[in-house]
Amino acid sequence: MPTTLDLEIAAAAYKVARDLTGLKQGESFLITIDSMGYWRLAEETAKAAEALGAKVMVAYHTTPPGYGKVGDPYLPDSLKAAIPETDVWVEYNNQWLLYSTPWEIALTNPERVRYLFLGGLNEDQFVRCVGKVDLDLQREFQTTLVNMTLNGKKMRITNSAGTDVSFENVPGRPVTNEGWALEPGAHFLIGQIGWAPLEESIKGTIAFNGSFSGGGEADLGILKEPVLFHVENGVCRGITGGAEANFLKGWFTRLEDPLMYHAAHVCYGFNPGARLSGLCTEDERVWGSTEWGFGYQGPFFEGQGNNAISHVDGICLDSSVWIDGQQIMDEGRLTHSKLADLAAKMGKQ
Amino acid sequence: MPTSLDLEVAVASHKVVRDLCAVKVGESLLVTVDSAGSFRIAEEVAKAGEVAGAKVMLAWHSTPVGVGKVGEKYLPDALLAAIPNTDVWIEVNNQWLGYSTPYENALVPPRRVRYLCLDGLNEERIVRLIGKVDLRAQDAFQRKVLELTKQARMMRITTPAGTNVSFENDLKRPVISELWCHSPGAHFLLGQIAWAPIEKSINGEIVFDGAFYGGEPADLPALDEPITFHVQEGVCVEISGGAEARFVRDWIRSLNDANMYHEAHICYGFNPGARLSGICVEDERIWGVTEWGFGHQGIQFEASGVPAVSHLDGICLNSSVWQDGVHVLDRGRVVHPELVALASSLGK
Repeated sequence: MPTTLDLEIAAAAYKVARDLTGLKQGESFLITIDSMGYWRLAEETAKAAEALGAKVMVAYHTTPPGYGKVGDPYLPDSLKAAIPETDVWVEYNNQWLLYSTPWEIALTNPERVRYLFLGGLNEDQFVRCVGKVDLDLQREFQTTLVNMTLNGKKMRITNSAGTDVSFENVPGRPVTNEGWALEPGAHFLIGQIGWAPLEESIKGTIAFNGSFSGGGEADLGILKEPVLFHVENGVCRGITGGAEANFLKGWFTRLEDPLMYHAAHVCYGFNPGARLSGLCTEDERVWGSTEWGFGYQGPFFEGQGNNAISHVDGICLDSSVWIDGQQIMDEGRLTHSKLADLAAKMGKQ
Repeated sequence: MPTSLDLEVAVASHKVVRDLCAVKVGESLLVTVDSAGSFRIAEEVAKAGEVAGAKVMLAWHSTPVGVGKVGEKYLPDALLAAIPNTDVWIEVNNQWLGYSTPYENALVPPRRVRYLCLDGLNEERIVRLIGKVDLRAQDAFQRKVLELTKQARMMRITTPAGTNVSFENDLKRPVISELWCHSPGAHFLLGQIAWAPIEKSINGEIVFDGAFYGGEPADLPALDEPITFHVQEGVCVEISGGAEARFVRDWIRSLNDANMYHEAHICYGFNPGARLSGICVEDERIWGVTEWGFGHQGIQFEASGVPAVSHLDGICLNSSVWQDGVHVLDRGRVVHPELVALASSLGK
């Protein structure tokens, strides 16, 4: 008996297996999903992979009580052994295995595993953020913007909530183009472009007016009032705003790690289906947003490699962006002609 | 929304995890089920594992084409790696992974993994074959059969279909009574007592009149006509019967492995809930059957250890058994005086 979104989930799942992971006949295909995740996504992706001729396994497992290494002691040994031994791994976990020990074994100096992180998505988010996306247009849009950003030196970002921050890019540092898991390594949901600017060049005000995710009690979800980070030389020197800002100020203090105040990365959000939902994976891809991370800096950014105790992400909605003085986006609408044309074709202008 | 047998399946699953496997807090529990198997059972067993405080993983995977090493090339690498790395492995597959390389890595020799094979069970079967069985009464009955069999040297088995085979036991070899999965090693659904006779002593006709299972394409449930294996010194030298016998003859020949003709084990079937239903795991446990395996010989039998590319099993219904001349079973009914009351307590 069909139920809601059955066909849409099947179509999205097939896109994941065929297009996003480039799955080939005879490859080993692993899907992980914990008991808090959305099983239908895993099941439909398994069906798609089977149809493509892969050797498929879904690992449905006990939900660990936290992300990454925090969950290590709670994972079944079979899962730890399975993860590094596959050609493709798609993760639908609610409590992510990303950055856990088996993840590191599989993906540090990756030689085999093509990993696609789709953690936390529910059926509706999966359909909107994967199934309904025109992958050809998306790829052209993202690649154009990645190349512009790679070539850009001086950046400025503002938004109506009070963001006004400028910084410099470092030639040679990567700009990630997320969506496709076509080569070994860690890959993430479509519609995010991220990089680490020259840390000490970042100065100004970053006004988070979308959502804020810091893990545990600092997962604030959708913000009631903007939270402002005042940044000098890449370091947050003050947090202002309302009750949520006051809470965060205390939370940062309790962490007793000065490295948590250091800016780690900036990202553009450009998933045409993403809506502000309170789930970081979706929110940081809301079209026209920018997102800033503070604290631990992932090694794939090839930045200074700040090794803080944790990591936070905040979303600035409807951003305006200038690259070397040329405005490419105005309050979330693309103004650069090529990007604007592509965005129009994607229904986003 | 509840569906048919929901409560009964839950009860049976808890019996599997708590009683049969004695899963302890913090242990790693792996449940494997292929896409032809019953996911509902696997899911309920996983839930029971979570309730028991285990770290649970349910591996739902592509169905291999065939059993044992024949199916290996169809298995995802993650599954091969997962199987040896667990405290308890409960297999609910349709095409079983027994005797495959990951199985051997996990269980030969047994070090850590307690493996319980529940292959091919659907919801109705797990309720009949586990959920409804009085485990204490079953344990008492099987202990007595085990005790009698361990002491028996000269054996003879007949059936109304024409089986007439005799053989000798090696009293040093183990007689395996399948019920509990409390120690590292391979364990199977309750109600089976198995051993490997002295191979060269086996002579006579073995007439399979229940079912025949060799894995796809040689799974032949509900045989139209009996298939007779003519055995000399433990080796099948001829297969006779009708169309199914000819098919089996051709299929074994196609495997290109002379060891497939070697007798591997014999079993008694004593599960009070089992009926002829078309799956090997159940059919070989029908009360009062004998079952013969040919081909790969599991290491648990501590016998000649003949390796073969695959393994087949055939069922002889309504068996009569004599142990050292003492009548134990008469056309499927327990007649040994020390067993009759114990069988009665199981409704048999």
